Amino acid sequence: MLDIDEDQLDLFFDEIYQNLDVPKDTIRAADKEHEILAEWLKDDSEVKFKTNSSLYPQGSVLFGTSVKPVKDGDDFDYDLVYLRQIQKDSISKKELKEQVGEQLHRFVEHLKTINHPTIPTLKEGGRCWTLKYGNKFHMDILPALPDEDHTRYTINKSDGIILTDKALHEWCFSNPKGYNTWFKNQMRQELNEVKARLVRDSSMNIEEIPDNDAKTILQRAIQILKRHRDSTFQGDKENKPISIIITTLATKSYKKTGSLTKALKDIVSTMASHIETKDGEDWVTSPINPAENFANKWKENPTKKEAFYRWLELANEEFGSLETRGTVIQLSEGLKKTMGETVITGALKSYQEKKFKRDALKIAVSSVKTQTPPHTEVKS
Amino acid sequence: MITTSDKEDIQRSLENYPGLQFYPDAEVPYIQGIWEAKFNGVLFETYEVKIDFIHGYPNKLPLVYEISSKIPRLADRHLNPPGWDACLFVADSRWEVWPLGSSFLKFLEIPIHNFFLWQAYYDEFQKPPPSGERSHYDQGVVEYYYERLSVTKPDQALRLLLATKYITKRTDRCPCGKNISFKDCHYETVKLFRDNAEKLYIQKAINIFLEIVEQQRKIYAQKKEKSLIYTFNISPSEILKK
Repeated sequence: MLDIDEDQLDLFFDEIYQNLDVPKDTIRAADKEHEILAEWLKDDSEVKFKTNSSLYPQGSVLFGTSVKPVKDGDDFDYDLVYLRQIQKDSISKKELKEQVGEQLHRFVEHLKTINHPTIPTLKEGGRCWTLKYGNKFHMDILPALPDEDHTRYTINKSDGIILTDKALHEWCFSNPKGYNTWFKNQMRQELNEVKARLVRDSSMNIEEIPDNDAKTILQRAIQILKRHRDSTFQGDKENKPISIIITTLATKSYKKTGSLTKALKDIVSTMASHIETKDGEDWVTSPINPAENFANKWKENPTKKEAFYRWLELANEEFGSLETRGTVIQLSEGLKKTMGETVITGALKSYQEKKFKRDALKIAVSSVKTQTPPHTEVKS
Repeated sequence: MITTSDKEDIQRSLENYPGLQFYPDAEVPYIQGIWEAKFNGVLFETYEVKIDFIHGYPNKLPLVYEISSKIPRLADRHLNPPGWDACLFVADSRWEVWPLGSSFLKFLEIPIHNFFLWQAYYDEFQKPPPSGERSHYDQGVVEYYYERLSVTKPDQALRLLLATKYITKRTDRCPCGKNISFKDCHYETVKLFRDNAEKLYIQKAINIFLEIVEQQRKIYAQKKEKSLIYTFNISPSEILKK
């Protein structure tokens, strides 16, 4: 017997998602700074290097699966690819990294001279540069070059990029735009339906609504799973399962049932079945490049594999049988430990308000004085 | 043109609706403003509305528009294309919902109130409320008469509607086909329709049911089966000829 009905569970989990989603004003502010930086880098590259460049989001910012940091004081991570249109033979890995650093250093100085409201601080990372804007967000800028091999990927073949490893020894391959195409294609119809609903609440046309303003059930489920992972691995960041593995396996496990809690249950119960074994090695195959294994670090570092399966087991315990975990209040007590107290307390409060409204609406429509069901009489 | 007393009635009706403003001197007098979909003091949603008092009011229903496009322009949301006026109820039921001679206040309190609560429910749950809706076009009219006359077959509805026009004795067998007298069955309901419903809509409904019955008759004739439709000796067409 169910303790909580499915509608209530979905309502509560939707509020959990709302509470861990990065606030729109933070994303808008980061988008704006991204645009300013992109324009400056484009002009600067043309003048200084006589080459074209572009700066675009990658990872969870592009996929619409970013989540708030677990700790209240931590800022939001906005990942960008800085693609310079030059051939890899014409520049060393070290030069690529240093030239970008030098440009960003001058960009910060430029912001100071124009009295830009927020002056970011520049910090060097392993293979990227970080611009930190106050306490709300930071941008990780990853220098990249075009991948001249257009046979590597099954879609967006010419969007492949090469980037350096952390030690600046090797070129690595990636295709964030291609992966995003695959990811969005898995839920295209649902995405369009969510956008259509947003259209009527705004003055925008459907084409003007950014993809990531419309969140599908799959994106919401991935955000909840990522938050659960972040909380689980707070003291062990080195071994936490990487987002691309969670996103890929969750997408492959997703069944379009129209319910967030059913989606979570389906995903945690079937995601392991999408991990293949090739020559004794675990493979989470890239959906756009059959030769790329997102779990390539598991072989040399079995602790990462163990950490993934440990997390999946915990996620299964958490999301696999939600309907039997007592009332929403009882369920929320358990979730506070795994998803964070602030998120769950906020979700419970808005859930209760929304439930009150829904219950009142049910009473209202069943108490109307005369039954006058609406009808449509004119054919178009 | 609407009469001065109608304008006064409309103005009075708006006393408890501060969000709505009446423009009586416009070429087509209208109300415009914010409609609050609320019940027992709980506000669920607000809609920007315009209500046009078209020529022929109050015989002709005012046209109600949701003008901020909060409600998608879809027949499934009960907006009539191409102008997207709200379809508040089956026109045949007007005599019960907002009879001629009633104040405009009743129009606000019942059909408009119910319509926007229905829309607020749909917006919240992404599905129609369990209190239901009528199917589109003529099928909605058929459903109304089935429900109101408590019958399930087109020939039953047809014969009962015909009984509102042609004399049927109280002691005759009930036109619905049950083997009991009219007075012990549908007499009171038929009398209600005869005394209150608009003749024009009754005639339209008769034509709809007549067409359905004739179609079914043809199907049975093609199948060369004994007609299962008529329980009486005279067909509806023959009754109409009398």
